[in-house]
Amino acid sequence: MSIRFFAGVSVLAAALLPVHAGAIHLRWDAVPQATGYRVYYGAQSRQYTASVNAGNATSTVVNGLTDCQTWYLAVKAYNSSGESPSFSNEIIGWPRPEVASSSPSAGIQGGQLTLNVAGANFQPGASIEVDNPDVFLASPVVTCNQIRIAATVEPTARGVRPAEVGRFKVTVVNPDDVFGERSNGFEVTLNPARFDIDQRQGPSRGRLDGRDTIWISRLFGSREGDNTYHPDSDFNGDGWVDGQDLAYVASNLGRCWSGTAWSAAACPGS
Amino acid sequence: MVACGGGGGGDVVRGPSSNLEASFTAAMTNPGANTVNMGAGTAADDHVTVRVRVTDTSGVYGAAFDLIYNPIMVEYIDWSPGSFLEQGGQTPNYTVQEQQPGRVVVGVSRTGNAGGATATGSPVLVDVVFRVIQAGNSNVTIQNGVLTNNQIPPGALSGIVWFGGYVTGAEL
Repeated sequence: MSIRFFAGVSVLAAALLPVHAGAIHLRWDAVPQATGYRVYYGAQSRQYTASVNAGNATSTVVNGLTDCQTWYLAVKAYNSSGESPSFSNEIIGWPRPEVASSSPSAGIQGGQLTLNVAGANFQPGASIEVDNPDVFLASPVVTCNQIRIAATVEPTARGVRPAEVGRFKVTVVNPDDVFGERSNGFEVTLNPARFDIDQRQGPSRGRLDGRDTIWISRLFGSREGDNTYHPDSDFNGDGWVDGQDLAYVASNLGRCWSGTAWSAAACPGS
Repeated sequence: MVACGGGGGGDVVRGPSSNLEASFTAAMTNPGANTVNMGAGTAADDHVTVRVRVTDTSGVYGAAFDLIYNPIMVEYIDWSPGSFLEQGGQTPNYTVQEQQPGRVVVGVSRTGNAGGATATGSPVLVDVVFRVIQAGNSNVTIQNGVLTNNQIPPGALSGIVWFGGYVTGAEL
């Protein structure tokens, strides 16, 4: 879109920037003969109540906007002859989403939970992502300051690839593609119940012993994509069956499952 | 304890001196094929090494078992790798842990796509060192013993017979 104004100066287009953080981040095309730009904004269309001078930059962040409210913004160019008489196209948007916290902040492998993400500027239709491909989110309920969503942390069954353990970024994306994120916003924790890899073999079911370490050793060094890789032996979900996975079993060798942890006291006859 | 290693073992780790002398007597002195058996290794003062051997068995990828003993009579001290599963230059995974006094849980396995090892004669699977703490005999037996092949998942080799023995603490 191009808007002509005096002295041959025109603001070609202005748009919300989807990739930068800030209250509202705006950019526009450079205008020949312009020496600077001023961004006007307000809470009603074409009724701008404030402005910010961007200097000769072609983007700026407008701060201090009330959350969860629609804002209207437009740009004028200026030079030594004065300011353009007309505005650019109008940009309409909310301040960018802010992700403050997730509750619970962690989920165990194999768990299903309701995740509450608190923050601001979550628009109706916003989506949420956890930067872990094996954490699945569904059925969000969005309000301005909270998103409630069902989360599934794999594996929920044997043979399913496990979610990698660690802390992962949580991102909320509004329908206009403006997003906010929080690093380390959600943690996937190790599920020790998975360590009993040979549980289909009767005598050592519920007990960690040499059979489990043989099983892991058989798959030792395999990685995701290999014919021999098996997700049940990849306890930490890093895509490898390796020494870390073996160490989880080795450090609990001889212990039995109490229902919540591996414990020598849980073994029959202890 | 988890370790990867190879080579023989059997050296005794000396502990505090006592007035006991340790020895080991195998339950089966001439075990046949397809057996896992214990034999005497070196002994020094109150320490004795029990050598766990596999006799004339093929296709062995891993071994899992519990060593059971009387913790009033003997105590577990240490372990060291054998040589059997190292066959062909493999570096097996050893996991050995005293789960509680009286029970040592052992897992030894070749890794990855290695084939099974073949025992010709009675190569050593693993050495285990005990210390006698009271005079008399204490049986050392095996529970939950299994030798496995290299299938995925590893399957149990059938027809394997396991033999233990006893540790003796004799007054000097």
